[in-house]
Amino acid sequence: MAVARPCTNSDCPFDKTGECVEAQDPESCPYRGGRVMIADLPDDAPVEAIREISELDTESDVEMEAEGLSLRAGTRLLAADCRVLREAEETHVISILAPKDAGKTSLIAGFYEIFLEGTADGFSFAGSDSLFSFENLCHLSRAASNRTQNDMLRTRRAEGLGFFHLRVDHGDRRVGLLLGDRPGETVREAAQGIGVASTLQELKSSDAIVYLIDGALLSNLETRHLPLSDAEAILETLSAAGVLNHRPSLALVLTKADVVETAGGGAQFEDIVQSLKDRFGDRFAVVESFRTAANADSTDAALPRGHGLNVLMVFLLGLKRPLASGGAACIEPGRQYSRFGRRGGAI
Amino acid sequence: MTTRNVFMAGLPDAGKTTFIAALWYLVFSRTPGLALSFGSLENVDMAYLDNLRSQWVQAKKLERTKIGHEKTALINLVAPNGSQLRLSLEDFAGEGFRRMWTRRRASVKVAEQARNADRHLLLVNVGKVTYPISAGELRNQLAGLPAGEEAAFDARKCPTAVQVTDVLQQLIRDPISASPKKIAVALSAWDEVAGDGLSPAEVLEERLPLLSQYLKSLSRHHEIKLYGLRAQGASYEDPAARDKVLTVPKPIDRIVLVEDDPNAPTHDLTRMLAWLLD
Repeated sequence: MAVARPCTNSDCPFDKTGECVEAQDPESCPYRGGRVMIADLPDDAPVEAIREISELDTESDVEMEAEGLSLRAGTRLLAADCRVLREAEETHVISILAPKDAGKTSLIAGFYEIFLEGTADGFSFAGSDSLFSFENLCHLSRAASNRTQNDMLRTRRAEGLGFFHLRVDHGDRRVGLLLGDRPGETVREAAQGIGVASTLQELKSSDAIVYLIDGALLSNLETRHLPLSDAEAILETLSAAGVLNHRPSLALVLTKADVVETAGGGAQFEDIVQSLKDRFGDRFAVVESFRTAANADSTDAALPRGHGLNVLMVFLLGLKRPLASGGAACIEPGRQYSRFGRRGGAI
Repeated sequence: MTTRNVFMAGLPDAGKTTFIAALWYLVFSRTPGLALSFGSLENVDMAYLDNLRSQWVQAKKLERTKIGHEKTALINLVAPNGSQLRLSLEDFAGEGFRRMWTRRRASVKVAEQARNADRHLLLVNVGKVTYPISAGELRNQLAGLPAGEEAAFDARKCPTAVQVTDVLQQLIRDPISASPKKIAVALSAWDEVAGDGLSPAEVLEERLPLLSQYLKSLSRHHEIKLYGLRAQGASYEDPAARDKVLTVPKPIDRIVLVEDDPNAPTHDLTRMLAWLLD
């Protein structure tokens, strides 16, 4: 069955060099319009079409080969997938809260790139059910996109809540991390009322909240007070909505620390951390602060790309599961946590 | 005589077919001192292996295996203790493994064979690695020159380490659920990295750190061994390199297998199989 169609193999240099990367005869190359192979047919191709081009004998052989086996999608996980993972192995749910453009996507991609670039320190990659989505996420910061400035795909509102999965070996422990990814708009809206805040149900099952302080806003005279004000509004509303009653850990994470470093706004971050600890410390099991530069430009920035992510990762890997209630345990970075008991929640 | 299946996996251009060709040449020419030696010919169609041998000896670039045209190499071998075994190696198309990453589908035959074989051989071409180069690095490389038009995400162009790692994950996890006792990982095109004086583990960690970490994680439940492999002699895309290969006095000298010590290479590809099948 000869079907004429353009070459669909983006790796093939045939048009330039005359050499087919698949070593196919151009007349018969399935990518260039020659004989169609079974695997080139759409998934819903009729059995007759498959039979016509195949050497398979029986109808069941044809159906089996055409269908193939559907594998794991490798994309962001849904809450139901997370439940399965949590039942199977130690897995920490991390809710990353950030207003729009604070650097949430860069942080998630940065965690992944620690492993990809081999810069993980004290822990290592042991698998992921979201590799395909991680790669998609990183595309705009890669040379393959032909861009010359690092950028990230934004989480669109329509995408809603999803989780990026990493499985990490840390000492003799294997820990799964589910990094909650929710559009920044919906996080910002949580500050506008308890009704909205209570819809962030995944927080009830989170082992840690990672709240991002946008370093770019801190470095701007007009916006520098906004991060603290926003954080207070969002955390207060979430608390009132009851989604933090189980007292998860809280990581206050400065993003774009390279920008802050250049602008000299570092002390202000410390003030924000202290203010939030004073106001919310008793509602979290642990409060720690981190400075990160997940997507800093590798040559122009004051801090290297990925700065601070190793330390934050170790914190997330070492989390103990929160109690449903209990006293505060604010500690400084690097100190040990107190022991916590079982967790509750929907995920 | 027992038949032992070794499931061989690798992306396009990983060197799977070349490995079979070199192995068959090595064994069939009754090279002395091999860990596994030639057994006997059977009354089976030898055209496939014979053609590979002929092409390989002439240093011709072997055709890629195409989907739907996979072949099985059946090679009878004799272990040092005299026991005989029939090695079955299916030469699956690399494109089929790539589609496990790009299309999230596997052929039923690949899934079945992966599941039924308790020994896996993974080939990774360390001479053709796609690295996760950042946009910032691209800007530095261009040094002021304009970049091309912005390109959409193309899963085929994702880093090699990610694609290979995911293929391995997919083979081991459900729905395929292969559970190999041993996995040999052959880093092919070893001639491209041999000059660095690094061991296979060091090369993997340097060039494909994600895969290196993942393999270490697998070693909790599977025996893993890394090898450096040169089955072709050089890249035939470079005519001068191919000419040099042709001047090597004995074809066997094109073959290099490196285990832990990069300074102690051997020609004996069957050492890798002997470890796998032990």
